[in-house]
Amino acid sequence: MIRQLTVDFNRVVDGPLIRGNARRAVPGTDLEIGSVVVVGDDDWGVVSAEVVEHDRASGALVLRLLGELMDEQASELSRPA
Amino acid sequence: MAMGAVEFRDEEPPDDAVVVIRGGLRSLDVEKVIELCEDSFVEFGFYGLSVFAAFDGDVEALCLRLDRLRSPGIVWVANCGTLRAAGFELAATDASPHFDVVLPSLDRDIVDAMRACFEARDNPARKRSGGQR
Repeated sequence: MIRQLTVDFNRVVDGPLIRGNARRAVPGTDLEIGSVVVVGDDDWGVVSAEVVEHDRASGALVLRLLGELMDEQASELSRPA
Repeated sequence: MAMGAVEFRDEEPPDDAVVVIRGGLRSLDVEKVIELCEDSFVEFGFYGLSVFAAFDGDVEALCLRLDRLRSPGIVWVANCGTLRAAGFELAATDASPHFDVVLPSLDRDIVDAMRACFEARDNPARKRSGGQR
C-alpha cells in the first residue's frame, strides 16, 4: 500500500541510516519501530528499509536501508540522446 | 550519534573551492526542494537541503567512495563559493561529508537562486560501472 512517506536519499545520518518524514503519510499509517517499509522514488529506485525512529509529533523518521538501491530509470535518463 | 535530532559538526565552513553534490535528476525540482525544506524546518528549525561535499573537488572520487551516490544517474554539482555568493550558507550536519545548504526562506526567487547554483552531470560512478550497480 502506498503511504507517501517523504525520503531524501541524500539526507544520510550515517552509513545506511537516512532521514525521512511521515507528515504527508496516508492517515492511519502506523510506523512502529522495527517495521519494514519499501521506500523509493523515480531517481533512486526502491529499497526496503527498517523504521529505526519515528517522532509522531513532527513525523520525523530515521530509516535503515536494508539493501542496495537500484535505479534503472536514472540509467535510461542519463543516456545521451 | 543522536539520530533523532540533526547533529552539527564542529568544523570550519568548507572553502569556496569545495564542491557539493546532490544526487538525483529530480532532486532539485522546485516542489521537491520545498517539500524537503519544509520537513527540515519542522524537524530542525531551518530550511536545509542535503548535499555531500567533495573537499578536494573530485566529484568522481566522492561518487565512487559513497555507496549511496553510485545509484542516481544524474548528480547536481555546485561550488561552495558560488552558493555563498548567492547568499546561501553551508551547515556541517550529521556525518561528514554531509552538509545542508541553508535557505533563508522558501520564496520562489530564493529557491530558484539556489537551484541556479547547480549544474547537472552524468554520475561518473555510473559511467565507471557501466550504468549498473
